[in-house]
Amino acid sequence: MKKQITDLNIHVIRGKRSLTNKEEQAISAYLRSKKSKKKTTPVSKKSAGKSA
Amino acid sequence: MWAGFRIDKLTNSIERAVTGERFQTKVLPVTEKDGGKITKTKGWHFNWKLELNNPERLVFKIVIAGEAAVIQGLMSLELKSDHFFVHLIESAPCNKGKSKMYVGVPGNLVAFACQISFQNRFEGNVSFISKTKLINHYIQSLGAMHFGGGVMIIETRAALKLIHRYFKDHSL
Repeated sequence: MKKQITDLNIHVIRGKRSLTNKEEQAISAYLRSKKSKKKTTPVSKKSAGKSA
Repeated sequence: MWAGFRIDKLTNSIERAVTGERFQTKVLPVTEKDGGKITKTKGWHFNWKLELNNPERLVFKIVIAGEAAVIQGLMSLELKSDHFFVHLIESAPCNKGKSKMYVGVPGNLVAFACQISFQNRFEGNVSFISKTKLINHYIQSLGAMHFGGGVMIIETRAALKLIHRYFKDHSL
């Protein structure tokens, strides 16, 4: 079956400006926190019991 | 900023607007030779020469496989410390408006940005700045997140969706 591709209907993505240092730092902090959350996600008791 | 950059040969597709026929495409770096094709007099909206001359910008073109001389769209990226920032994306003049020749060009280019973000161990993270009126459009169409102040982030999950949608032979 032919797979449909929907046009995203965006011809242009244009930033009126670049990221400011403050924004860049905020993004980095956010991505770091997301990463550390992933790493420290506790194993639930249920799944821990299963694997034991 | 090209040092350490790894770009695989990617194949994906865009669709002819009238017939729905699909075409394999390639995303390639823009070279000096392309300079004459991407000017305002040829119908391009942005000053792509300016992007090409900026050493911090990575400029890519999307072409149909076997038709490398015809540029279907352009994208300017910047490598940040932990993600890629999209400065500009533009469909070729023939791919704009109601009588556009091909659909899917911008989506392909955004998916490519996500792909090279993964290749550079940035977990697919890509950011860009949106006009206020387009924020919801990008949330719905790209799965982007509004970070505030018009700053949009495409995170891992949304990036994977785009890659699966556009790249048949992705290696993720």
